[in-house]
Amino acid sequence: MLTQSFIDYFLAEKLKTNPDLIRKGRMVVLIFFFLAILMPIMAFSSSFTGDSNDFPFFFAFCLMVAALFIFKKTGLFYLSGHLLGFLVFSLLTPIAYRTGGLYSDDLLWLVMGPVMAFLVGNRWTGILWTLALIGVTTTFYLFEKNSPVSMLQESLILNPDYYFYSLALLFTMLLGILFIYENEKTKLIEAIGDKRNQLKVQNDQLEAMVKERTRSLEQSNAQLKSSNEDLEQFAYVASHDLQEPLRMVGNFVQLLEEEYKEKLDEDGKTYINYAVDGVSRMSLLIEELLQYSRVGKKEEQVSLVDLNELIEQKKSDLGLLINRKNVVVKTATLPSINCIRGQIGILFFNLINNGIKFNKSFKPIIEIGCREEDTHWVFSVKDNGIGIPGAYQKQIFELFKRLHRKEEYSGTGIGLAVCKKIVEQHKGKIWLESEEGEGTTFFFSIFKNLQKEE
Amino acid sequence: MGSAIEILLVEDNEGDIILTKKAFEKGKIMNRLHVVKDGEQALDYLFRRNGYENSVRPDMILLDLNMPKMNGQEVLKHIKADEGLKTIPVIILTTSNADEDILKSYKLQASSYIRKPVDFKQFGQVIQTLQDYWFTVVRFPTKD
Repeated sequence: MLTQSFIDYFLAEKLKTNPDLIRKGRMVVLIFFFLAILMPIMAFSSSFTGDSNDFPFFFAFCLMVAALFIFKKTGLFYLSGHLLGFLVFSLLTPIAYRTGGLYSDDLLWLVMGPVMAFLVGNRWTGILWTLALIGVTTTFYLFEKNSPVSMLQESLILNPDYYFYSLALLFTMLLGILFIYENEKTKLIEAIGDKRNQLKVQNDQLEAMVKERTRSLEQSNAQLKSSNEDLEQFAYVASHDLQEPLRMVGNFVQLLEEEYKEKLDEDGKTYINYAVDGVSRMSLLIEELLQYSRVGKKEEQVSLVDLNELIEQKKSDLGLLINRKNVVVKTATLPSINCIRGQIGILFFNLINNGIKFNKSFKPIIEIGCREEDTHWVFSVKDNGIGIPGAYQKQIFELFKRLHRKEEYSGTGIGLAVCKKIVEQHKGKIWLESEEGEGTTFFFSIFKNLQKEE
Repeated sequence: MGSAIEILLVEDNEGDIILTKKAFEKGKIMNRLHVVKDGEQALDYLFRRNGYENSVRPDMILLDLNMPKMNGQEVLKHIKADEGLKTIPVIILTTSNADEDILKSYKLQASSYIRKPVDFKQFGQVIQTLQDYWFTVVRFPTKD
């Protein structure tokens, strides 16, 4: 408070806004303040006692104060200032004593050393000055055979003017402590302010970084989405337009066979059969690719679908095959669920069809089951077919993955990939359990709360 | 059976025209196939204008979707908007199942959909079924 008023008085308005200048200004003010109070006291004391050995102690004290306030706490000047003060104390105390000029008031100077050092300096300066105090008081004790405290008491009783002298010193000390307290407080507040500003800057940077990241993430997401859509669009258009020329080849080769029957020999007819077979397989391939690419296109909305009715429909679609191979399809009572009807239809169709196709048993049996879990419905399609070896159980969901030669079992290797994609569209998983020769059970889950708007 | 059945085929692909002709030739029912090659011609034929002033009103229209100038959907819209024509059954020719689904989603008032043939023998069967169905089971609205 006091120093603040000094600053207000001495420093120009402009300088007050610079915290560094204010701190330096405070140091200057402090030093002059000490000098201003101490100088008359020194003069007064010397005139009483007639000696001048106070000067070196005062000099050492000033050095210490200057070192404590002016230099940085870890700087070389800081340490050397303390060392110099320490040396002056340690050397001058015995000399002063020998010449008979050591007075009890010098003890006050000594006590102030460690106090100031602990208050303003660091741990090491405090220890240094404490050592100096211990050294000097020990010297007193050794030579006087008397404790410094009792000596101080004696001197005060014998020389009443020392009261004034000591009070003046104590007053200065209090002022010093007050200043130190304020100075530290200001420094602390400034430091907090600095840290806060730093933190704010860092926060802003971080925020900007997060925004930037989010933006680039959104961008790449959109790019990915659009490239995915492009790919699906491409697959759709490509496979769609591929059908056109293929139909021409297939139809006219057949027409050729029909209308030129008499002119063709057996070889010619065989070649035509190969051509027709190739065309029909390619047509199936294109049709299924088209189906695969359409699963991602969301042409159809989520709606409430009665699965019992859906399965009946799929069974009738497969009616020819079911009758020919004498298949029994057992269906548990199924729920009505929110799903994309067309897609779930394809899913059941493909799984049932696979169960019948990869089946050598005399009486193929397909069992469709369902269980309810917390978030998903889990469906199963079980067959008594040829089974799938463990090593291939994951691979078979990949596009174009086939386990058999086409002469053994026909197919494109797209069916299960379509199934997987459909299940993923319904936020579920597809997996299987199988034993070779025993049969296979396909499981898939469908998320219960699919949004109808989606 | 007295008179032949009049069929209008709207198709731009020569190959498909030949195939359709062949398939109808094998049919048991007498028919006459009139061919136009794009949507505008189809409307000219149906509304008897621009050289088609003496055209015969068809008993059935086979309509390709993917045509230059005016596509099948637009032709169908015009047909269904006309009081005199909207009773004629229109059968859409599609290239794939996908088209069929898309058409359904457009909710066009087509009477039926046939996939263009990949397998000619199958196509012949489909046309046969179609003939049987439309000309023996379904009773057509009487001509004006």
